[in-house]
Amino acid sequence: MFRDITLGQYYPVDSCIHRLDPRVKLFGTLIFLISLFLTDNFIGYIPALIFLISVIALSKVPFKYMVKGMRAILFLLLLSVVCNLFLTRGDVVFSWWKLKITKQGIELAGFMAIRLSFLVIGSSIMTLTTTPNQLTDGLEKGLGFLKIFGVPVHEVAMMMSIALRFIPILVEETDKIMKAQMARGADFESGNIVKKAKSLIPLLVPLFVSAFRRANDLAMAMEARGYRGGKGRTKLKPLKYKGRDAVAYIVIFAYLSVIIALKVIF
Amino acid sequence: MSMIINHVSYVYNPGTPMESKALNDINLVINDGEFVGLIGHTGSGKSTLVQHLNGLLKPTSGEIYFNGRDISDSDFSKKELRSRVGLVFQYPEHQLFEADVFSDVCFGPRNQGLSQKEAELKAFTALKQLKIEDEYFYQSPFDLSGGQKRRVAIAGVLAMEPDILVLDEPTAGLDPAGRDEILNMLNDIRNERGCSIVLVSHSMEDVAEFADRIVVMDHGSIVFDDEPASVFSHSAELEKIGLRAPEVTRALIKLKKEGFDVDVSCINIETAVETIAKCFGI
Repeated sequence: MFRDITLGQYYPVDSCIHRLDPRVKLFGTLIFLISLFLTDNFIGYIPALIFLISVIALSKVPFKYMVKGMRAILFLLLLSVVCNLFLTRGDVVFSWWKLKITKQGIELAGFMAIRLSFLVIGSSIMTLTTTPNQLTDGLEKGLGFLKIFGVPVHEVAMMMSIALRFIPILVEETDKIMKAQMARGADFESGNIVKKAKSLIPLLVPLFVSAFRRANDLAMAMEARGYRGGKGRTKLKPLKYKGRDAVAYIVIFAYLSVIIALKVIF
Repeated sequence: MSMIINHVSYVYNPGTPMESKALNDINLVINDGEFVGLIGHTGSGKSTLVQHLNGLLKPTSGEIYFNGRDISDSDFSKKELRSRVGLVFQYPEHQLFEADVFSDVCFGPRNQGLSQKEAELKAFTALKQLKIEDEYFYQSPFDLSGGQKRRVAIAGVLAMEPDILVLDEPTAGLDPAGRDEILNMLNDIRNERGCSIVLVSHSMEDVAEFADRIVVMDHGSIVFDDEPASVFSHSAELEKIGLRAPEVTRALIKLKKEGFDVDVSCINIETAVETIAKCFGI
């Protein structure tokens, strides 16, 4: 039953967005998010929409995968729309009992809905086109300057990639232990909440034991291969900027200037 | 207490890009008190098949009958099925969780709804049968050696007194002494309790000595289902699917090819030595 969980949402196709350096994608996503918050009128969303649509088209990822991410925030989206719709003061266009809908309310609700959807779709494009490992690599390199301030960037990135790597392993392990205990008559489904929580002990104890065992083995294997932290460590696939990354940076900055220009003009 | 597997097929992740056929029209009968060796290369579908035997997986098509009743019938309790068909997973020591050995073995019988006393009695018998010394009973299972842990975990399933005991690679990762120990114990259990045993392995040596029947699987289908000696005589076909007849059989087959009059149906070292000696007139 745990087999169906897919981690991250990486969608494996070959496109120019996929091939971009993860740092560019991280930076681009950040700029896109900032631009959404800079904009405070509908006109500002036109370049954002154009930017978003062209990136989606270039990424070759089916649009329905982007919308999938929306499902998780559907409730949040509805809540914000409803709150904005009913709680904004202004010129009343419709009223029923104590509820009033104002012109400003409609505008704000629509505005917020667009902002939230763009936020989610924008960040899903990054996770759909970048593997978790590339992401941590990008973060490590991109935030490398923090090392000067004593932040253990490499160590944190390493921890992140190990954690990501372990998730599917632990999911599989959970599935196995669950089946083994079910074969011994364990029942994970029936009973009240206390009984259910208790029935998880035969699952959780072996799971923790095996996680620690694996962590131990991994630490040993890393040390046996001479791992001693980030200092002086080279990469198998070092991140190197290519021509397309420069183009992407230019596009991102052009986009940012358009947004700022619109903000100044209107 | 027989089990009949009738035209069973199983597909993983049907309807997705990851769809893969694991079992393909399996027909198999497990008789009372029989010791069946289920052999196959990694990925041949043997582990998938054994998970069908106690209802952990439901066949995509086909039926499984236990004592004449279809196990996917809604009135056939899965709990009852799982206590009649004991399944020991690969590396069963990874499922141990209690603070001491004895309570861990009691877990199965307690789930069957037995009283503490009855459960303890069954746990005690099972531990004794797997030759766990009394001094270990109240130790943490995590302090035991690998072989001991394995035996405790098998005892945890045996304590439920199943009619069919299914073991998925019970000898994986054990040294030769530990391996022989477990195999001998399984044979004793079969003789003392009269239960059937299904032993899954990829090594012919594991099953050669005690199995009454050997079932060979390849790519989700059954290739051979026969007595050990006649399965081993297909040594060339076995090698084609990544398996090997036991050393003894292969040596005898080679001798026969060289013109020596030996009996190639011998499957253990003692009888093989006899037939070779006889052929040399010693």
